[in-house]
Amino acid sequence: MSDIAALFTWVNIRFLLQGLGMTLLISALAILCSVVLGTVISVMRTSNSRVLRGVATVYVEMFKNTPLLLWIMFTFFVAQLPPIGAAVLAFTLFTSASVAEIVRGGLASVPFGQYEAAKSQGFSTMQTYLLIILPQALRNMVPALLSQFVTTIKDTSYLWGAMALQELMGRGMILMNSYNSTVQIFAIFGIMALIYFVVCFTLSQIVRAYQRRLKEARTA
Amino acid sequence: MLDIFAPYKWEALFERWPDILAAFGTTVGISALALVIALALGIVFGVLSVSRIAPLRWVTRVYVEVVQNVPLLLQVFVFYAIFPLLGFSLAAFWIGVLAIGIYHGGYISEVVRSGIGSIHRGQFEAAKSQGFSYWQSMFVIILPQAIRIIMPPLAVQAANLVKNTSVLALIAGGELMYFSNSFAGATSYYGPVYVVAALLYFVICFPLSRLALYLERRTRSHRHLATGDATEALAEDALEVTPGTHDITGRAAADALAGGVGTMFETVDIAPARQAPSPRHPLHVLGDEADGPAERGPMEQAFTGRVAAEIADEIGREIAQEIAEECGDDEACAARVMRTKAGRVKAHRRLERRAVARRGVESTVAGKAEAGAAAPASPDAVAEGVRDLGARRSPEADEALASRAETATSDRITRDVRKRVDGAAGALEADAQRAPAEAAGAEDMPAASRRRSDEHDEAELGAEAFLDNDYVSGELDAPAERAAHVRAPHDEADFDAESEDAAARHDRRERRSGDEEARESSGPETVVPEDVDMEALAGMAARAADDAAARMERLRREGLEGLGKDKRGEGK
Repeated sequence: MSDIAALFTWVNIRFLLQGLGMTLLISALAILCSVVLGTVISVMRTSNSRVLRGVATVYVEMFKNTPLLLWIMFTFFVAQLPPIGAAVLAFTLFTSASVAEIVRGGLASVPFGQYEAAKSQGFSTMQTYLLIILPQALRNMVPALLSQFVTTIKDTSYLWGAMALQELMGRGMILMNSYNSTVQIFAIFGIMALIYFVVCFTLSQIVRAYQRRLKEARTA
Repeated sequence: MLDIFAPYKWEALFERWPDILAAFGTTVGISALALVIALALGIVFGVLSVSRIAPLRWVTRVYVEVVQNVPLLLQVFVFYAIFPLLGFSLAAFWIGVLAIGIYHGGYISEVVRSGIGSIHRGQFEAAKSQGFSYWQSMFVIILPQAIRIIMPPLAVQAANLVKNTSVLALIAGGELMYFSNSFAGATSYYGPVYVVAALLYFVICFPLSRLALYLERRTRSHRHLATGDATEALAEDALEVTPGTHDITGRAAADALAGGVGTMFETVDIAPARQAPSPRHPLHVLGDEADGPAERGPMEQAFTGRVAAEIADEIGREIAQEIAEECGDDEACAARVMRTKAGRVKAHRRLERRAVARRGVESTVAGKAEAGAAAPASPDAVAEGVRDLGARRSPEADEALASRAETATSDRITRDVRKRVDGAAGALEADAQRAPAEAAGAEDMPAASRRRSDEHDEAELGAEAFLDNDYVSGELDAPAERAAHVRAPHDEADFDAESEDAAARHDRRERRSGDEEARESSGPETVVPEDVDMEALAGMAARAADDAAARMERLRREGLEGLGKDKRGEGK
């Protein structure tokens, strides 16, 4: 028991929380970039130009049907980027394919009359999307985006194994190496899992609450 | 950049092609086995998650939440790093199979749960009413139907599972990703190997996600099965046929009873003519644009749930009769025959035959429905309805029949009211004719008015007879008005024109304005000799219009109920 108590020093806790910070930072950056890129792609997918549509479709299919780890490796080794840059790039590429689908759903949820109304008021295509359509679409996209955020947080755990980036998983592994009793390793592992669980579970509960509210708003 | 993909690097890679294939094979093997485990766990936990026993639901909740909210890599590490500490170690291959199987089992369990949730509870009730146990109904009736809804997300899960096997690279899993990493690490030829790995993953995942898309589109054409409120509404509509009242048997029950949604749209889909959907139909909320053009939308079906159930009933009786003929009282034989006769495919075939035969008798049904719906409708209207709608039987047809009946009824009532107003006008006219003679002796008005009022009431009674309604006499009991009739000498022709005008006017009049006029006419200040007859007429007309509207509404309601009853009656 004292073994476990020995784990809970401020240094260890801070060490892990910094790892969590890194995890959240990378996830948040990746999601933000993905939303921008995903929006561009999904708008391209609805474009009138066949070329743009084709490019966007190939992009989405390519990243949707290959593993994330491969892109992490690819950006790190082939593109030779520094770890954080490579991580954010890989996650952005991979996640933007999913986000493009989410954005597409979000855009589809905005009634077509809104486009026509914007056009009738003399908005340009850009203005229509930025000022009229996207703000409305975003509201419907929030739950799916948060779910994607959860997925991304979980997937950042690959980064330690792939490029030795010290996010939560990596910090936990490092900590595990400096303790050797079985109980302590269990405990560290449990704490790591618990932190992930608390973060992700909270987010998923928020998603659920938000969805309920959206549904109520729609039925009311 | 180009030297990353220099030709000699490709050569070096392709010299290792047996290893590439082996690694690819390992990925496929792990994926396949993990998928089996994930499916098994997913179905078991998915079914448990809708269990009536609360602790079982909690267990599945915990499983799903833990598995979904903890990174896969961490779960793999439990097998890889933690279990060996407990003296329980596995080869990387089996770690992959187990960990990934368990991980995706959680996701599939959610898929199964929502699939089951999308099957209406009425199906359970129907199954129960047919003597199925909970587990029988779950595995024989609910899950087979849920599968169609489950399939698309399941294919997505399968693709994700394949992609997630790459995580094993981090524990030296020996699969494709691991091979790529180790080759890249050993030779520092990073480019080609990742491209090849990407291609190989793509080769497995792309068909799976295409399959998912295809299945989804196919399901969407039956999309009501998968979507919330509309499903609910549809099922409710279909459930107007209460489960317990049908004597149909076995799988046919599952397929067609209690909504028979599956049957309805899979088997009894006859007339593909897409008519303007009735706004009354619950599925109207879906609209056309909900999902782009569906291959076959729910509105294109010729049979509503009720009719589908009706057909199912007939089949049930047919089966029961055949069993009785074949086996008599032999219970075991009956059970055996029932099993062979009531299979899903066979039931469907019967349904199909029935559906074809049905089209032949359609017009009869329509005629009966019409007769039941709108007794007051003229034979012409019925004939017309049958001619127009005879070929089809659908919610739209029902709607059209109902509205036809309504029109016929409203025509009749209009005539009715016209007659009644004419009658009243006649009475007033009679008064008016006598009026000049009486006008001189205005001082003995009470006596005169009493006399005239008797006559007047007689005339009124004539008018009333059309209506079996007593407001007319009530209206004219007001002494001031009676006096007014007496005192108002009118030119005959003038009067005729006016009364006709009023009769015509009441047809056009809206209810509200009718009310207004009625209010006006009942006010004492309106007793102005020249106008009063008109006012009284207008009031009557307004009331008549109100009354007609109310009656029409009642008849319409009765008619619609009659329609329902008639069909239900046939079903039994």
